[in-house]
Amino acid sequence: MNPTSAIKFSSVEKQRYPKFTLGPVTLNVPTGAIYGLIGPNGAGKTTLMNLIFGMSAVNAGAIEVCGYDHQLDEVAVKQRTAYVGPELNFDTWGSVENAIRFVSGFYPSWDDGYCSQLMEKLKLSKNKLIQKLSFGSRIKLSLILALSWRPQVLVLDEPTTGLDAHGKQALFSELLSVVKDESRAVFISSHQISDLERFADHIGILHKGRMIAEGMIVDLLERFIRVGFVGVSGDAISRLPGMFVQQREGNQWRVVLDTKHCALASLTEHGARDVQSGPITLEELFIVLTK
Amino acid sequence: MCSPAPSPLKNCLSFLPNNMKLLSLDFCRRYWRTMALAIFLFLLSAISNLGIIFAMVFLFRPDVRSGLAEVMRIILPLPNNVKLLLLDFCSRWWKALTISVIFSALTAASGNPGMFPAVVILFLLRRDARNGVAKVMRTLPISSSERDRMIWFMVVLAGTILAIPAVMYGTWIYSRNQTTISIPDVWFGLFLAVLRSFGLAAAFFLCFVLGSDVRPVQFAERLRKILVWVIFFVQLTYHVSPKLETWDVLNYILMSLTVILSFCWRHKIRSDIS
Repeated sequence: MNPTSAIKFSSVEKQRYPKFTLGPVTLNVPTGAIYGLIGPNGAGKTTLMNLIFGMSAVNAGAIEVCGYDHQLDEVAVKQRTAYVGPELNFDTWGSVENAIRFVSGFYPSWDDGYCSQLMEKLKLSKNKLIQKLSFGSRIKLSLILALSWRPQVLVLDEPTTGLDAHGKQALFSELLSVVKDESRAVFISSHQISDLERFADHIGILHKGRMIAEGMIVDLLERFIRVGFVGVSGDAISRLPGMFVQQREGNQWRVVLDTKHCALASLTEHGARDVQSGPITLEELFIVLTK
Repeated sequence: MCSPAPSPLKNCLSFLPNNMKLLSLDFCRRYWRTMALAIFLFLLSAISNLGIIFAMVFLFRPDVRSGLAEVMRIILPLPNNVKLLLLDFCSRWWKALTISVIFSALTAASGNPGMFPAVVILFLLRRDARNGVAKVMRTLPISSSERDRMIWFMVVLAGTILAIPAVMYGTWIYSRNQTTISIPDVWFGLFLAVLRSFGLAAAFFLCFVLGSDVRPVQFAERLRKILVWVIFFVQLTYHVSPKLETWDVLNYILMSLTVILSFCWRHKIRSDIS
């Protein structure tokens, strides 16, 4: 089986009692890619990732990982997918060595040599007690446990939280080396949008349980542009579909335009003058779309 | 050239200096029959509180424990990943399990000695879950059905199996104190005590499994809950009596049904323990 999608969500819906509803979400993490998932707090990023591992059941839709259904072929999915998240807690195993011994037993592909290399690179000692580790070091431990058996798909829920600059650098260089092998993929959620902009190929923006923009970063940054213009006094222009107002001072407008729904020419048709356009950063796009 | 894998026995004796280890191994090899007989006799004589305490403390020494874990890994007829989870749970909580077995030995004469380890195991599982262990388990390549089966095995069966020495002790004490005992012999009494213990553990398991969660409870679920509470209270009406009456027989049948029911409903385990 050699599917082109590492992870595929098809119209997935999840209702959480009493009122939060996620979806319907459709997204596709291609093999050989780093897919970044961003969204404000409470948007449903962790819920979406948890669904892959059956930490809660989906109400509608289907999830496939490497071509396997996440419910029917639960074990096959988990044999190919590793998870790192802030809620994973290995305290109960006492020392780092014990945690490694426990987890390694479940994976025949566990690579001790690679595990030691990662420990050295991320500066973590086997003899340390997990309870005495800092938050960042705990994340490092989760990363080591996830990477050491060379999974096909890595699901990382906010792995950069608590990591210092060196740690982040080491993490992303490891992730890049993971996706060098084109049959593997990384699905990562993070609030560090600038990091994702540098390292990820694809991005999905989740807001209030809905996927509001998704695709290759390059395509998204081409599709959305920053535009400044002098407008007319009426409000008709502000109601144009695909236009997101960033700032307005009198007749001076600064907007982000979704060129898929609103061409630059339509602004002038509505009376805009001195139209100036420029590229947008991912962070700006995120703020505008989730405002 | 490959070096031979160290035997479990060698691992057990790793705390000894090398020469001592050689002497001990040689001694074991020559006198294993005598030692086996001694252990058997020790187990027989372990039907006293002190004996059980010594036996448990000896069995759960870290070195002996790792050797035992090796043996269990080979002999347990379970899928490999389930075995790993079971052994991991036992090795992390061996102190609590030992204490619970000792405690159940102390309260053995009450008639329900196996109940205590079952309750302890449930609470240990819940503690594990609250500490994030359940989430770690969810990411491991184990199916939900295997995990539910393992939790059922640990709560309903393992608690009683662990408490069998205590049940033996309790049955022996009980039958010794009875002047007119109608139960044919101690071994039949032991069988009934084990069944009682399984039944109560299963009722506990069901009460816990069907405990109310955050989500709204449906009608069928409410009915199931009522049924389980009725079963639980009926089981509690059992009292150790010198005569096996009709009500007791019905209660034993109900206990067996509870065990079957708990197995059938094991997949309804609440999210906070699995």
